[in-house]
Amino acid sequence: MSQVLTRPPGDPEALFTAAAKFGRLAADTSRTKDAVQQGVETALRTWQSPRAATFAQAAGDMSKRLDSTAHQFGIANQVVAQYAHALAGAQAAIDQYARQHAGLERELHGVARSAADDPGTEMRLQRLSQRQGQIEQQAGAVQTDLRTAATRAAVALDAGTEVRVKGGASMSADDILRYITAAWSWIHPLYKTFKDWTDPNLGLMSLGQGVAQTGAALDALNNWRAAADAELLLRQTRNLEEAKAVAVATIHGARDYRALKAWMEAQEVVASVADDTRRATEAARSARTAFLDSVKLTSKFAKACAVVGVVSGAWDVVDPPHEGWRGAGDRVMGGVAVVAGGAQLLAMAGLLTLGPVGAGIVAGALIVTAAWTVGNLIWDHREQIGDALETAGRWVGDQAGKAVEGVKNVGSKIASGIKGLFG
Amino acid sequence: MSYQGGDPGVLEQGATEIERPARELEPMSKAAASSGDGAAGASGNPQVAEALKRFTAAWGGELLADGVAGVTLARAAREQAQQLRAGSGDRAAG
Repeated sequence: MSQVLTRPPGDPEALFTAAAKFGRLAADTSRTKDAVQQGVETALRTWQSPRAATFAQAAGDMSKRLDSTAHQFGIANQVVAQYAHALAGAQAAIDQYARQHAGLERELHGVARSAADDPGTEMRLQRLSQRQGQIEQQAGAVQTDLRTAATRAAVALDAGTEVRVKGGASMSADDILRYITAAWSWIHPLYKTFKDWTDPNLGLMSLGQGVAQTGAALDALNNWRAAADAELLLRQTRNLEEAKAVAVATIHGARDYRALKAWMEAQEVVASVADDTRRATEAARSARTAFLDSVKLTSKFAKACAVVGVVSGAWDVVDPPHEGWRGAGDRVMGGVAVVAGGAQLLAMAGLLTLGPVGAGIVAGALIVTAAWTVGNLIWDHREQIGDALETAGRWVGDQAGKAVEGVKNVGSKIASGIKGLFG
Repeated sequence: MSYQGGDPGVLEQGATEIERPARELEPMSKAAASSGDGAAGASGNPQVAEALKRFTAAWGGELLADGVAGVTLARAAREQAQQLRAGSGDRAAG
């Protein structure tokens, strides 16, 4: 039988089931976003402090991400369902063509056997053969249409992947995991820029260096071949600079964080736009003065408050519950927990039982949570965090290869990798 | 300053309201992974299967990240409530 008459592989019913699950996920994600948002509004009803603004910002970002995730699951629902329809239709059509083709084949054999001396036989054989050729052409068109539908489905899904991981559509799922794992190591050198912020002027100098890094990242984005990596670096750098600004404001008890933010923005212009340097420099000087004016003399009280909230996280950094590489992992995750403003430490211990793949995924996941509270906490634990991040740089580097090596089935690895995360 | 104002009871309530749905993101990311697996296996087409795996790796991870983010937000609100209680205790003792 001709190749074009072979039934296309696949299970449309299972595809419809999977599509329906994606649809439910879209609805569930939207509902979850609304529920979290309601809790955030409750928490912010009476909360008055600079940290509340950071909290609101982080919650807003999370809300946007959940919207985006719900949207993407909705797209997956439609794409998979459409492909299921195309596959079911193609299979039915090919089955029908195959039956017709087989019937003609039988007829051909019958005609050839029965009346070799009949003058009309050759003409009948030709007609039957032509009909078979037409059926093969039609079946070929169906197979082509199905391949086109598959390409469209893959392109639509890749467009969604592209949103999440720039360049992801050309990457394997393993590569995406490697990317997420490796992304953590970008943060490591950035933390090294922290300086002694006892003096507000030194804190501002440190931020200035960080802003220059942002400019360097911007250059990298414009010039570097690996634009996706540069973009990630830039985003992380900006998040961290923002977080460090919050740290400086918190440590020195600044009344008005906006002045510091204005200074940072002006510095960024200084670093990146040569033509506006004079105007930006004047704006930066003015904003810096405004910030220094807003610093309270009683800043020691702010530092004392910040210590209390993160003692438990810091303890896991210096005294991890496991030995060996798992102990190193504890220090990493303990450090992350401190940086993340107290992410669930029990959950961190739980995820370390999952092996490198799960840990790698979660390390990537924590990047999302890390930036927004780092400012409140980094100062009081800078030594421990420095040690933990030294470990993190090596550990994550080691585990990135293992994570990819260990992946046989990405979907199920993610499913098992997240087991126990929420302790 | 980080802990200058707020009602601890309201903050605790907010933390609980945030944490409950945030924890639901874990089974949802598992469901995303299994849906991706199911669809990839059933597609019968390697191009679609690979795209589904990439999609699941990216968006399953995103759900997971937001689960962690939500739990962290709840933790932050709870810490704020605790600090406010501790602060009011200190003032009463003083």
